[in-house]
Amino acid sequence: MSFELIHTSVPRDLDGQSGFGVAAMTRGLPRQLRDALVGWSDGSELQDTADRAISYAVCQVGGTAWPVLTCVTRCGVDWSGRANRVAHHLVLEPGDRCIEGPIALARAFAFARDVPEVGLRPAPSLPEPMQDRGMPSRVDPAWIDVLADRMSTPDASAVAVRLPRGLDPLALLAAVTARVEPGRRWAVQWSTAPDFHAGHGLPSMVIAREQDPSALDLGLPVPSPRVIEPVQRSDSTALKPRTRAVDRTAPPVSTSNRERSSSSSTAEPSPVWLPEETAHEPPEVSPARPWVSLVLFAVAGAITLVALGLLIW
Amino acid sequence: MTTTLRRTLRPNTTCPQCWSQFPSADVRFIAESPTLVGDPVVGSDEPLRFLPTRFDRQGRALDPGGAVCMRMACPVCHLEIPPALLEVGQTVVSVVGAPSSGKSVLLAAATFTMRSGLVVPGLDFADIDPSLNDLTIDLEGTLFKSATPDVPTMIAKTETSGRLYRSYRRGDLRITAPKPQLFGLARGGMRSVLALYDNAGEHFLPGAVPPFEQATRHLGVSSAIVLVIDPTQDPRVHGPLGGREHVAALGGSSSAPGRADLVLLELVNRVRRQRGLSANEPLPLRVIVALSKHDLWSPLAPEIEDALRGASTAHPMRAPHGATLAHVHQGGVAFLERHLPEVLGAVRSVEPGFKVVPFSGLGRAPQRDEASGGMSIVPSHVRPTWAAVPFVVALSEALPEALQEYRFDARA
Ligand SMILES: Nc1nc2c(ncn2[C@@H]2O[C@H](COP(=O)(O)OP(=O)(O)OP(=O)(O)O)[C@@H](O)[C@H]2O)c(=O)[nH]1
Ligand SMILES: [Mg+2]
Repeated sequence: MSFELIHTSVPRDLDGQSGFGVAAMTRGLPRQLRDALVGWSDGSELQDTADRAISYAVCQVGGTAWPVLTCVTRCGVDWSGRANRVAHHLVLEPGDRCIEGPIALARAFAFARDVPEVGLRPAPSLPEPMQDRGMPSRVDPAWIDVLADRMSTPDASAVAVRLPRGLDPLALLAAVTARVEPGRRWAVQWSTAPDFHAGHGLPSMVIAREQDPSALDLGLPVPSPRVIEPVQRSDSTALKPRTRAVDRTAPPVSTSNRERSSSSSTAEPSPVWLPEETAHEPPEVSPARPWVSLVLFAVAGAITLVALGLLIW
Repeated sequence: MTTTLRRTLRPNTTCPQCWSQFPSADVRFIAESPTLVGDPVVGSDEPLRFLPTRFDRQGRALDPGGAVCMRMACPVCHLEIPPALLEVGQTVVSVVGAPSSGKSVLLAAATFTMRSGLVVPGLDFADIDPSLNDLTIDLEGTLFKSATPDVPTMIAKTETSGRLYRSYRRGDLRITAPKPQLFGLARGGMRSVLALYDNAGEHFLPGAVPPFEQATRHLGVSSAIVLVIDPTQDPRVHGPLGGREHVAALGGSSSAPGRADLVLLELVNRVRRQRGLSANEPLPLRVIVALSKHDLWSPLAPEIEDALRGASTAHPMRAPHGATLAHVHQGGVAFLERHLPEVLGAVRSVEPGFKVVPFSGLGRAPQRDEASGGMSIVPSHVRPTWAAVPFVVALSEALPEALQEYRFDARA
């Protein structure tokens, strides 16, 4: 069963309190998860001027990893005459995880834009995932590969990108997700805001602030060689996923030798990889080690020479 | 030179952020060398905190990169603390209250008026370090030092996390604490650092999630609590004040069913938990009941009006002495008895020596903006009344020798 929780400022919330609290939620939402979602409802996504932010993160509580889609929207003023916002969380069960990844549900689900009626609700009904195979215009397509590669590496890298003006961040996120191997799409956390609540141990991608000098500027062509040095997050709340400036002294990361499924919609639905009890273990991806093939080549050469020598002898 | 520094240190210091007590000589320094970035406790973006072993000729600490370091940090949470804290004792006053009860407006008005020196003659009140007091400077800036004093504005709601808070790691936990606002106090021979905190009202509500309770850990060390109660949050006062809508249009919180007594009982439980006190032990702190938005409900408390009429002071900002404060306290008790009897009962049961102080942080009602529905006030119209008095009464309990003339016996 999926769950939802809506957190906003109301005169009387589900606990009978005034102020920011839980206004509505699915009956039976586990207590620990509810507390964690309240902690994720502080509106940190809206610190800039944006009126709405959508994020996807994995919330790890009580030994379980819950995939959570969150939409935070500014919504006028509350009962005290001060600015209000509504945070709507959608928690998904394994059966709800579609092959297209969380972005397809995020684009289709009707997140609350206003203060809802206060009360408990039945489980939310999920829409058909929204597919979009189009490429975001005005972005060098090579960026999509670079970002998908970064999101597929075993380390929990955090990447911040700056978009060309007017580009829909969800369109970019959809394009990147489509390039990530289907089994890993639910393990990539993202947000349309610069800051968001993310589970640790997983890669994440955010839309950076205008003035963030370390963000990758997608309005420019991909620099050559394609070098992106990720910043390792040091804390569990990971409120500031960032990417450091390109370091040209670092060894280049290959982006061309990955095998991709031609299209997400034609791929057979594979079991979706999502960290459960072992959420902190990095996913298995064999890193490229060029020296391994060199050594193997040298050994094979030596064996051939010895065999040839023996034959002649 | 090091010995000169050590001679002025107090043996122990309490961190105003994690509230651990540590030997003052164990204070960490904050590295200044640009390469020494990354600290295991406060995060990878922060400069390293270290215990100095090398000093320059003037006795100033040098970091491993050789740079002179002046900024200090708590050895436990590694958050920055002003050096003055190592030399001067600290008085912690917790401001507690439900959402929208008027805490932030109170803090802004109180610190702004205290700075003027007009509230308590001879009391110096100044920021210990303006860069650490950015929250109060912001709050005061909105209402009292606005660059556009004729443009309506209002203090925003205090968030439960974000830039008003700092976080650090303890074991596997990431703990968030409200930024302390630290002021130097001096009067006669007394010197102290006053630590104030502005929490979101949600932090104090019963049933708050664990991180919210963490954010109120100053209750474990404070010498006084200023409990802000907005009487207009109680439906019983709406009728006599002209109805719900009318009260809401003037900044009252008519639609919120405030249960100040429940907030108080939750607060007492936390104080006991955090200090390891049994249910029978008396609270080791004073409770000042600050009744906010007096401009709205003053018609319901004629006793307070009478006491205030007879209490003309040399300057409207000046705090009256103990005798007048006692009269006003009695007026406040009479008001509570009539309109909020269970609140009075709850306060009495937890701290028989409680003191009641009415105040109005704005001095007049804000107005509702037709277009947005938000409440705002023209800064040049703001005239706080008695905003600093709850703190003067709290300090007269915590620092009795220095503020003797403001003391009174509430039980008399
Ligand atoms: N009439 C009147 N209204 C006031 C006064 N002080 C505050 N208000 C109103 O009460 C609202 C809440 O005041 P705040 O100081 O922000 O309340 P708070 O206790 O800090 O609230 P949280 O930050 O939510 O915990 C303001 O936006 C004003 O509309 C006052 O002195 N008189
Ligand atoms: Mg506030």
